[in-house]
Amino acid sequence: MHAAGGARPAVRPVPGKAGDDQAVFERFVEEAGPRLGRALAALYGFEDGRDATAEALAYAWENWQRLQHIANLPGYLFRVGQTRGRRRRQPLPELFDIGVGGDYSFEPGLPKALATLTQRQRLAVVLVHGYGYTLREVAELTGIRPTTVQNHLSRGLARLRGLMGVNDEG
Amino acid sequence: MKADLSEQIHELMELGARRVTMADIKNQAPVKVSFLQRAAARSRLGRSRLILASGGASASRFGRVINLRGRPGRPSGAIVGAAAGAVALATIVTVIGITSQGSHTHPAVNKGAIQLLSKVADAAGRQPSPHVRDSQYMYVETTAAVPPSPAPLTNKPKPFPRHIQLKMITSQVWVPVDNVCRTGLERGTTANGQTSSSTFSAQGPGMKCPNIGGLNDPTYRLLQTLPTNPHALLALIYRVERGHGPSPAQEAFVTIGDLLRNTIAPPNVTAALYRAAALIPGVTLVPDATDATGRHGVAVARIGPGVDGGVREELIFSKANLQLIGERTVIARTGVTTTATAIIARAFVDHRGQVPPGTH
Repeated sequence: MHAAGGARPAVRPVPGKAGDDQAVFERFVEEAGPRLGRALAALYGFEDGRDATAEALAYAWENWQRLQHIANLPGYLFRVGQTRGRRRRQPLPELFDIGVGGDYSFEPGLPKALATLTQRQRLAVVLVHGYGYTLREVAELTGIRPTTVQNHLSRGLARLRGLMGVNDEG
Repeated sequence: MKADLSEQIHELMELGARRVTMADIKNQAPVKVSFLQRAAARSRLGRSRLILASGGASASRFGRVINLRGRPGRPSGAIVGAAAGAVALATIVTVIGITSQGSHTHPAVNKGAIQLLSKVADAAGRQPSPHVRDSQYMYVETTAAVPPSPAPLTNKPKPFPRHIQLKMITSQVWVPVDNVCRTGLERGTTANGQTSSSTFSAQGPGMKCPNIGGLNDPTYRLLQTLPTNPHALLALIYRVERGHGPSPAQEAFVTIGDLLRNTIAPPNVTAALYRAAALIPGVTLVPDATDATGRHGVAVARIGPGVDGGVREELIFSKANLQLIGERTVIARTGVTTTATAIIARAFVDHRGQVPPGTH
């Protein structure tokens, strides 16, 4: 093994001048951060989801030189976030707790109802139903097949409607 | 009552899920990761693989050491990624730069690779089957060249690197033979002799114990259950890894590499893994490849998706005895090595922390 020599020095796939790593990374956070954050929040709740997202992104920065080559980096980081999130144990009913008071118009039972869904159901319901992602987009991010996402979505929605006694088609 | 459930969900999420900012990320850094976690992350999805086992029941492979927040002076969870510290402390001892031989993949695909894999499988299949007791540990020692962490976020941009400087880390792992819920041990040693260790166990809420693990955190007992028919084995790997990574074939190739490198599989399973690799389309021969300690060998490789021609994963074999000596990942077009591993020792031992005789 030897360094330098006559080979091409092009390590970096990102066009642009030397050392603009941080700018590229910040742009990545801007673009992919919300997706990642929503998905991990759906899985682990607001607090742990946010921590998992921040940790996954910090990991991305620490390994930026290597990771930026990855085709589906948000999907990769979703997995990284999962390894963090799985070790967290926020009490289930509090996953989507928004504190007392506040100005909101959703059903007060929604946070607790959402927390009773399975993780995958929550992923599907929040991303597809709450944010309008396509099944394909969810699949790409989470590594779950689109048809499976669809199944989780239907079951999750049915359960949620049952729990809350709402009918969003009516 | 508000009728539209979508809107309600959206509102709740927007209200509760505050966006992660650069400040949050900086507060997390430095996130320290053990080499094995890197390996797990890399191999499971990067180039593009996942950390989660597909069943969801078992944790990442040796990356069961999950707590990555082992910041000095801050108590962290039950399992502290102590080998992590080793990564941070490591000094840069080697420069695996732009290796010219890295870019010369043999043009004649498949045939050479398939022949090599066949010979390697034959050699592996001839090894005697070890007698292994449940109480023992699978000991795997590797030396890895891994990329250093980039500068802290607050640093000013640095000049464009002409080569990637890799740090050397030696990792020793003791995985229980029969049960991933039993406590294992991981020890990391940096080039300047700094050592740190951490224990790991898959035990936890939602985990059924005892458990022989899965494809991504296998015990020896699990490896003994794998099919020895290469077609059946490859089908199993495709099935378990389905939906992970951008390409099932690359996923399978890397999974096979992980199983071969990070574990001790029974001889007939090892042989089947090599024969299964030969069934994956796109596997090529690399006549000369170098492992993390500079040992030369011949490699079979497969290029996964990515920019700059993709990332080539190489499994490197000794030309002398056809045993697996290590692996390397190379940016296909530039020939730059991004990580490399050398297998130093693998054996079954009676106690956690015990090193097989003759190793050190």
